[in-house]
Amino acid sequence: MGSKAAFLLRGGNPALTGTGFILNNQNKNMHRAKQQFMSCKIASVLLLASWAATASAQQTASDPQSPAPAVGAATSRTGPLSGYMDFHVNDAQHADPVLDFHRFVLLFTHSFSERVRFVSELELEHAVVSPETDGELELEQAYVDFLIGRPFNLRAGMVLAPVGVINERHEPPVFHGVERPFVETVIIPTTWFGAGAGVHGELRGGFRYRAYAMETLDAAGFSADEGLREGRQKGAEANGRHVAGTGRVEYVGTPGLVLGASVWSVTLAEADGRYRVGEFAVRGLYAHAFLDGMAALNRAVTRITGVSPNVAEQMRGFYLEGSYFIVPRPAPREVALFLRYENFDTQYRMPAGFAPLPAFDRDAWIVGATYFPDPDVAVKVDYTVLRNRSGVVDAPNSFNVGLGWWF
Amino acid sequence: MRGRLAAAVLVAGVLLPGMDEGSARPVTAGAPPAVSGPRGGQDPAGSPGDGREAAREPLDRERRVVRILAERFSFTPSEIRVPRGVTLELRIRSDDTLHGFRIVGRKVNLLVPKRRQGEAVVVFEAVEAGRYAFECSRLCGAGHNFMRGAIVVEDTQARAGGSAGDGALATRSRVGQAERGSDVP
Repeated sequence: MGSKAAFLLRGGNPALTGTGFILNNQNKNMHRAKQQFMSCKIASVLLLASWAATASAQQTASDPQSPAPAVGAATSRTGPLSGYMDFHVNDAQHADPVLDFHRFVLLFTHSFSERVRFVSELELEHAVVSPETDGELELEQAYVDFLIGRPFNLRAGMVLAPVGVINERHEPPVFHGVERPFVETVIIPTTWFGAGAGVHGELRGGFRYRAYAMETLDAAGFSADEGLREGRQKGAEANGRHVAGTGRVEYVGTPGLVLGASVWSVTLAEADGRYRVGEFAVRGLYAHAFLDGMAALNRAVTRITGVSPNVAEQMRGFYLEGSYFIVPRPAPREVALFLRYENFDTQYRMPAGFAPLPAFDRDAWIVGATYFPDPDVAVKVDYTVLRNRSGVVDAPNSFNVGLGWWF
Repeated sequence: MRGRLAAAVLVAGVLLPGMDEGSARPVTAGAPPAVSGPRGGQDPAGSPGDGREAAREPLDRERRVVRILAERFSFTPSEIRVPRGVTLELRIRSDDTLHGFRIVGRKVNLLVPKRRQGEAVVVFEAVEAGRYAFECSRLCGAGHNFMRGAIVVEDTQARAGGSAGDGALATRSRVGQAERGSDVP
């Protein structure tokens, strides 16, 4: 997660300072100016490339000599597989800019029959998987759907936890901002997936549901700063001693409106909504985690490692986002502005005997724009102002540029 | 946990033997759709599904237009109820990516253009009562399989115009057009 890396890097890269590479103020300013120049260059290249490509496409489409396009041919075609990709440039304060091919995801599907279907999603994160990098190869989905009827269907395999807005709907063009919301990173650990089985269906009146039995979260992975994030077992020889029940109810009966509520055992409750009318859209989410036995966990980890993870017994977060298409034209002339406020506290209520760390009571303002050269391609720019309640630990702001696409 | 997961899989195993591809079709068959095709910004001139096709509908049938919004991962509305005898015109618009619209067991399977790039039109003759499932036929993301819906033709005739025979005749000629308009393999 970005915040963790940012806190570690605050004040300069420890590895570099350890080898005597200490910047004086003048060098720091030059270094900073170079960083900003580099970020701006990358942003400019992305924007120019997308404009150039779409201008070329427009020219072809308007060429009277060109054959009339078949249905959908002028937009895109896809073969037997689909996928999405996400490339980021994150320029946080007190750190070097980071260029990260964050996600390369391929989706494979197969229908055994009308009623028995397979869906999978294979994700490569951070480009390279090696002991020296943070790269991961993850099987985020691989399930078989047994489609019985609209109100009742079965699903088994590697499934997405039906919690929150982003977890099941995480293709880059469908959300604003280069990074996913903080709340849906630390309180709801998207992408949250695991081995499990359950039922899903749609009822009358625009209501639908999902209910799964899944592997549990591993509390040993919880932390003060990243909340529940590292508790995911990801279906990798997951401990099956206990099982978690999770479910979601959604209302989708009004065009443009989605209201949802989710639970994960007795650990997490969440409610969210999205509404779009004309060119204006708003979305919001509230999530609250209730964790039992965290005092015992903190003491046990302290005995083993000598450091308390200081995991809270309650965490909570919410966000509200508004967006507006200021250029509501068919692609390539779609531009949306957005503003999001997030408030998230992974130290909200501490077990007796443990004090909260104010550095992890945070809020953030994210302002930015998304340019769509095609509805499936998003060029994103945002500026994130991150704050915390600590008087000692600084929360770094960041300038972010992203390119995401779905095919 | 293993026991509970095994139980869920067993339940599926018990339920599935009774299902085959044929049973995926609507409970009551015999009301094939008439015309399907795209319209809007990318509509090739004279393609199936434009207003001229609609103008050839029998004049004595009640015609109802229903606008459907397709977005990851839902159709809204997802259940459309009409009395028997109605000509239903579905105008499907996407709020994001390219979706598909397929009526299960029927020869309707077409693309819904991306946001702001037009709409797909399906004309459905509700000749016989039954439940006609539809779904997104173009992989559109992690929740693709959730994009499903149904047209429910109720056994209460809307209006006494046009015999069933007339409807069937009109339908046959339009199924061919629907095949040409279908754009999803």
